[in-house]
Amino acid sequence: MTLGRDFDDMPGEERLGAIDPLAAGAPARPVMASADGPDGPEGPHHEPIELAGTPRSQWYLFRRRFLRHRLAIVSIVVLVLLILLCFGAGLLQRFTPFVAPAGRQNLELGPVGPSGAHWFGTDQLGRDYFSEMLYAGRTSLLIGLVVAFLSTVIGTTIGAIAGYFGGISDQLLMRLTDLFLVLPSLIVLALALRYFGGQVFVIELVLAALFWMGLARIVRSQVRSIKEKEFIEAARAGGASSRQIIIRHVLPNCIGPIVVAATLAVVQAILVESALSYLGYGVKPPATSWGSMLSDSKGYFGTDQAYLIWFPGLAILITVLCVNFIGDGLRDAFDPKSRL
Amino acid sequence: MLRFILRRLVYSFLVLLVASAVTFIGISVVADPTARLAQNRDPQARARMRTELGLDRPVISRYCSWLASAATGDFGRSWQKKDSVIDILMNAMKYTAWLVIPGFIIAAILAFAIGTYSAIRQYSAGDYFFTGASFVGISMPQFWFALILIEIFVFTVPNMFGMDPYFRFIGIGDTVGDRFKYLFLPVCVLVVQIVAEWSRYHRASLLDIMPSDYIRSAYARGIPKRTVVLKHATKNALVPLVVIMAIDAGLIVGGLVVTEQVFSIPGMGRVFIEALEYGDAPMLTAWVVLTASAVVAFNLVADIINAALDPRVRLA
Repeated sequence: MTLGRDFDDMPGEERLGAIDPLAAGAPARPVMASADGPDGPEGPHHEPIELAGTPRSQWYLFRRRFLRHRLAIVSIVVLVLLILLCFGAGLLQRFTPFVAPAGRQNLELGPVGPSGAHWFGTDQLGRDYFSEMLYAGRTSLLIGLVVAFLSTVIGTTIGAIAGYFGGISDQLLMRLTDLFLVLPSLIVLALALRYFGGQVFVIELVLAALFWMGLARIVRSQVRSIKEKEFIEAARAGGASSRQIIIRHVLPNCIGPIVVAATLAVVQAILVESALSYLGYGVKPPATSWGSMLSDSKGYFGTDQAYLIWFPGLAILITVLCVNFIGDGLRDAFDPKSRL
Repeated sequence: MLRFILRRLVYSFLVLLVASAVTFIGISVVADPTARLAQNRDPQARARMRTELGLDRPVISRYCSWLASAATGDFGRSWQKKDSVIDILMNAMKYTAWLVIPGFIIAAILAFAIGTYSAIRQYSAGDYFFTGASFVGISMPQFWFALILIEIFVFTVPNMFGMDPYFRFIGIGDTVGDRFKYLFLPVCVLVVQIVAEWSRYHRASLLDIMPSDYIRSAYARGIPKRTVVLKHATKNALVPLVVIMAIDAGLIVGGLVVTEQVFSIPGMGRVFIEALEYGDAPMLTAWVVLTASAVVAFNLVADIINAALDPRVRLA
């Protein structure tokens, strides 16, 4: 799965429809008043254009389109539950019997299959697998979220600066982007993790350093076209500084691709971390992640504990699936061409 | 066209230069193949090996001499295995090719069929099924899928493919039946992963084309739907799919590390892992040069195919 490709079918500038902040809430939106729309006017010479209902903001349209995407909504609920469960594991452990303290072993018990007391069974050391999954989930989810945040910030900043200022800064930043794109990411990851060790924050930093290039290119091209629009000129005439213009007027118009790219980064980070764990370059004990649990469980092949292979993989699958659905919903919602 | 190719070749050359430099210097900094001799009884052993491998010189000068001999086509010998790295890579490519070539052909056929079906039956039960399946396909860790397949087909169901339960790689096998047994599961993993992506791609590009005027005129002329879809629409919709296939073909040469590791296939992935573990700088650098060349070359192929099939695209 290459990161670059998925960006290609994201809402482009023309699909995004300029979200002109100065005109926000203005009623004459082509989307609403299109002549061939079911509730649009019959002909072009109708006196004052009658619009059905109240003027609608972009945010309203976005919300409405997103809420229609049922899978995305379900995914958000599932994801929030997962996050609460994983990050609340410490609390649950204190007040409920079904979550054990992290890493508590029970050698006398040994491995038992899933049951009422141990929902996902226990491993060779008698550790409750359900509880271990919750603790490991914290690492996996955190890696996904932190990497998405960092790579989005880096990509947006570099793309915005390169696109807005152009000239020499554009050249420099884009050659830097090319350089990062050229590096074989597998090599860089493996070398960096071998050198710095498998600490969680190192993994996060390295992954973030490898995931920002696609977004930087998109933001740059969006910014280049947006900065030529009249409302930017108006803002500049009004005395706004470059920084204000970028943050207040330009970037809000690029929000679609940025958000969709962030969901992709979450997905990539979680999947790549699990693959790295399998190859032995993932998080190191005592820290655990779903990837490292999965990689540990490969010893259980063909034994009675084969159930241990299923759970961490399913957790990754469900998480990534939810994020992918949310990304899909966001992509549709940011696309003004999609039906209301 | 010629200018375009020439410019791309110059650019590709720079890419390979950067990739090789980063890898060579990176691996030299990160891993020291002589470290394991530090505890050797002979205190001179490590120093001798360092001289032998040229490690007593600064890393930049080592890279320069590597580059000088690579320019003449001599990529040196593996520090770990003492064989010529070219021979090792050729041998590994043989195994990887056994996986990639059948996988690619099957995936291409399936992706075309599924994509076409989903596009003409948009929003049907079948379309939803394939959409869901491809979302699952791109959302699961591929090595987990491989592990699950092994668990099911090798241990739960009586070993139907006659695989070695410990996954010691026995060889590709000599007869067609043997090859089928050993390659079935790894190829499955590969196919599921790429079909999930390609079929979505093909569906989207067909759906993009179906509302065009020329499709409507074809219907209006009374041409049956089957012909319209498979001839008129496919001709244009195929372009993005073929381009993606070419790009992925380049990526996959070095991209099967995890799958090969799960199934213990001694292909390119194994070479990579071993070179990295040992700190085998010439081996790893040659690996990177080969896989990066594949990416660059197939990208170029993708652009040329795109220009050849779509007259609107101009190479400049």
